[in-house]
Amino acid sequence: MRFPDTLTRLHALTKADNLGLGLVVLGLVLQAGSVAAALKLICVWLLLLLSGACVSQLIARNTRERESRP
Amino acid sequence: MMTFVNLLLAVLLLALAAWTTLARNMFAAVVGFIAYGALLALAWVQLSGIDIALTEAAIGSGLTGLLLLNAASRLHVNANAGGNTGRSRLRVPAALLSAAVSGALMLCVFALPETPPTLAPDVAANLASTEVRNPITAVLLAFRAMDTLLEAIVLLFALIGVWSLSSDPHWGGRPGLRQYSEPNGILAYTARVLPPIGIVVGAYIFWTGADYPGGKFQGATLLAAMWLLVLMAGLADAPPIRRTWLRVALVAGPLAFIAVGFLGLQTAGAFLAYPEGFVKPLIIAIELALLPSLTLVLGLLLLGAPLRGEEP
Amino acid sequence: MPPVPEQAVTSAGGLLLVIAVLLPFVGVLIGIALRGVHARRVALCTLPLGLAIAIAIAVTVLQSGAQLTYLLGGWAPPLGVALRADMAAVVMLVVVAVVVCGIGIYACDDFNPARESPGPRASSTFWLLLLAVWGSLNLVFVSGDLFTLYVALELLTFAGVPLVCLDGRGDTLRAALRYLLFALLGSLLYLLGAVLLYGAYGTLDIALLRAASVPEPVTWAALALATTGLLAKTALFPLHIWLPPAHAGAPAAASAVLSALVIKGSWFLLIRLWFDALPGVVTFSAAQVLGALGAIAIVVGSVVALRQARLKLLVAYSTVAQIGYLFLMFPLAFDAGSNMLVHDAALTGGILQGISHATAKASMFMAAGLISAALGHDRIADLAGVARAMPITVLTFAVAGIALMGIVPSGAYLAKKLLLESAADSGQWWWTLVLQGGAAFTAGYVVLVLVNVLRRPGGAHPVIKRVPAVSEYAALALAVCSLLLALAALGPLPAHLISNPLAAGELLATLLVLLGGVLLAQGLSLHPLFAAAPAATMPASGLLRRSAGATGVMFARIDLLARGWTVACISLLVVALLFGGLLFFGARG
Repeated sequence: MRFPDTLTRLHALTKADNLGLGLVVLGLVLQAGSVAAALKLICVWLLLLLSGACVSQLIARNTRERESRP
Repeated sequence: MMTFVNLLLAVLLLALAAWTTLARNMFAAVVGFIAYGALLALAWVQLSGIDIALTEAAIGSGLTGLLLLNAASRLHVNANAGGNTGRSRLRVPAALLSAAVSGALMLCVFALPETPPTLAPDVAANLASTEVRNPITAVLLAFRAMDTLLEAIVLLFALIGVWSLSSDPHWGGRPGLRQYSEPNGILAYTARVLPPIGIVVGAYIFWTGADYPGGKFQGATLLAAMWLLVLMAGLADAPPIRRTWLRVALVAGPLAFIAVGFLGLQTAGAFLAYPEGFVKPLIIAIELALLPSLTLVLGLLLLGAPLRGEEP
Repeated sequence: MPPVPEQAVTSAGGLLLVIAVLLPFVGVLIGIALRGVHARRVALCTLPLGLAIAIAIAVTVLQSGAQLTYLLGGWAPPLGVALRADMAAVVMLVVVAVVVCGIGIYACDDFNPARESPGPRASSTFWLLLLAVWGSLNLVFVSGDLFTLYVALELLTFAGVPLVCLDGRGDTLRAALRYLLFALLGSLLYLLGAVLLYGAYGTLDIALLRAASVPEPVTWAALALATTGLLAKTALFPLHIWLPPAHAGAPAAASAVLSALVIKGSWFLLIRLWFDALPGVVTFSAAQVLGALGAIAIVVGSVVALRQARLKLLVAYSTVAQIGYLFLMFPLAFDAGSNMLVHDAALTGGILQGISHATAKASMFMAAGLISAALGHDRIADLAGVARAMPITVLTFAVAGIALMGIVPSGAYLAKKLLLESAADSGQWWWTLVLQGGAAFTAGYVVLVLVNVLRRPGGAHPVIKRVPAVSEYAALALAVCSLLLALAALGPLPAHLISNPLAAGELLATLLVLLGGVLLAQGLSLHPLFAAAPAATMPASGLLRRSAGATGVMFARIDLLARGWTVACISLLVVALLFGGLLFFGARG
């Protein structure tokens, strides 16, 4: 397996999540009919960045705590 | 292209359903269920049922998923999900029977009329008299308002049931366990940053429900989620269930609904009818009254039975 | 769009239906807001009001002679929802109101938040749930729309489940969870059926469905699914997985609610579905199988009831048997000429059976609860001397037993006569056997309990705690109600049925039923009925008793097997497929 444990998997996942979604949103912004719609799309992306970052932090912390316990 | 996407969605849904059923690990099954709910919401979007998609995502996948996660972690995280399925020699006949029932159902669905009889034109024809533009809201709060009122009461009954599970010494106390987290940790940070945004979005979904997809149930779920986030981060504590304000807030929504119903008796000639010209304001008033009640009920249902006394 | 039927207008006094449904619910809401001791007060205020409204509805319907209709929000079906009350609904409304009031008076002392036991949690919750069950049942009776009926089923489930585990013991929690899961499974099956019907006919209104529905695959599937779901909720054998532990474990007043009332909700809905919504889709064979399931339930439930060592479990299993009785009217109401179910004497008999069971079973559970409270246990073998200590309660049990057996002056007697007459008229002689045999089984377990309570106590006075007299009289009143149903029904029923209840033939039938009951109790019970009597030690009866005992053990095994989760779920699927197949092939052949 390329990514043997939780932390490395998280590492890979967040890249794909944040950047990939950013690119998708970028593409949609170009297609969006109005400025308001474009701004909404960007807001969605920002919110997802926030939640993604927080959740991966929490998962990582949880994993570390569990591993440090025997 | 769209056919391909739909096909992919259908295959994925079936695969996830099978995975959830067959998963050996309870936690994995719950995660599968949540993902299944999210995909199902997408399927509803494809079927142009935006309201249903929102509800499925918020309640079917989100709230129910959280409830199941809670239950799974209370049992044993790695508990064998298929541990108690009983005699293994009964499995094969059970599976065959299930397949037979599913097959029969599938045949019946294919036998449904090509253009199914629907009340949609009827709803559209009468939509103007309800003054709202979202036909779903018209059905939920005008044509079949009774069902919505009763659904709100069902939730309260469920809450009575959940509360009744508390042990006698803790009756009237605070539900769930007190949560602690690092005061400057990431969870506390999220619980400070996200709720203002979440409350705005929840209020927006509620407000837009009269004319566009959205409404009180979806909005209330979001608000409840924000409340639970704050509780989970330990920034606040759940109120003891004996508090009068809590109990009044819980029943205020349904009682207001009933009151508006009887008002209709006076002004429009039938229970749950609305006087002409005031339909939309009254519908919004009902939804506004239901919003806090539903938020509290959904949050409290998730928190569970009172587990500790009144002290924080 | 289907044509709107003539009766789709609100009738005068229709608002009473709305109030009948909402009054208990408003009571619940106010009770939640006020909490604690006030919940009981609110409930006790609501009880007489609700009873008055039920009676007002009955008077209105009897005076106008037509069914009562209310269009909610002024919207006519199929777009809106209509509430309707026909004669059957009115009868159920009144009887349920009477039973709820009886249970309320009985529980007044048991669930008093001011007292030490059972604590404020159980005592305030009980009253809220009692009102909740009441409102939900009223909704089941008056709703004319399949989806509103689904909501009513949900309401009923969520009101009923917490009643099971009110005392908070571990085994009752398990029973409650079992009930919840199986009942939800049933609700979902019903909902699936309703959805299929909407997909096929574009309406959920019962009256419109009756006009629009035709026998075709979708309708058969919908009816099969909905029927299976409702049978699971009614706990008809073999889908009774949840009933015995739930009904035996709950506090007496809660058991009375569950056994007398809650199961009647899904049962009544089944009547609506088969008789009112899709009468033309039902086939002869499907109706026969429904009746046959009822007959099997009578036999298995009764035999297992006779094998119980505890009084409350005996009463719970007698409910399993009595539920079977409630399904005997389906084959008898099938009219071979028009090939559909018709509203006739059999349906009247069935409803009469339902209401006499509601009253009698409520009082029987109350009596069992009183005995168990007074003695501190409910072991049937140790009930000696109870008759002397608690004569009124034992009288209640006996009267309720007579009412369940269908002996002369009771409502069940009339019901039995009506069903027997239908059986004779339609040439279905085999149901006569079931009807008479079922009465003998009922006699069996009633006699078993009565013999034990009438026995002289061997040692000290058995009663350890005094029970409130008002509870005893409330139970007795309900039992007497069950008897008096015959008198109350004198008006609308054909008079020839009750012309000569003391004729030789009638007396002989009654005697035979009682004798059969005694023999069954002697043969099948755990302990010989007349242990002190020398007859029990005779070698011939010993052999007979051994084989009877083996039969009893076999039935107990069947019951235990049927109540396993895996087998119960398989039964659910089999029943669904069975009904689907019967409807499909019945329509072909």
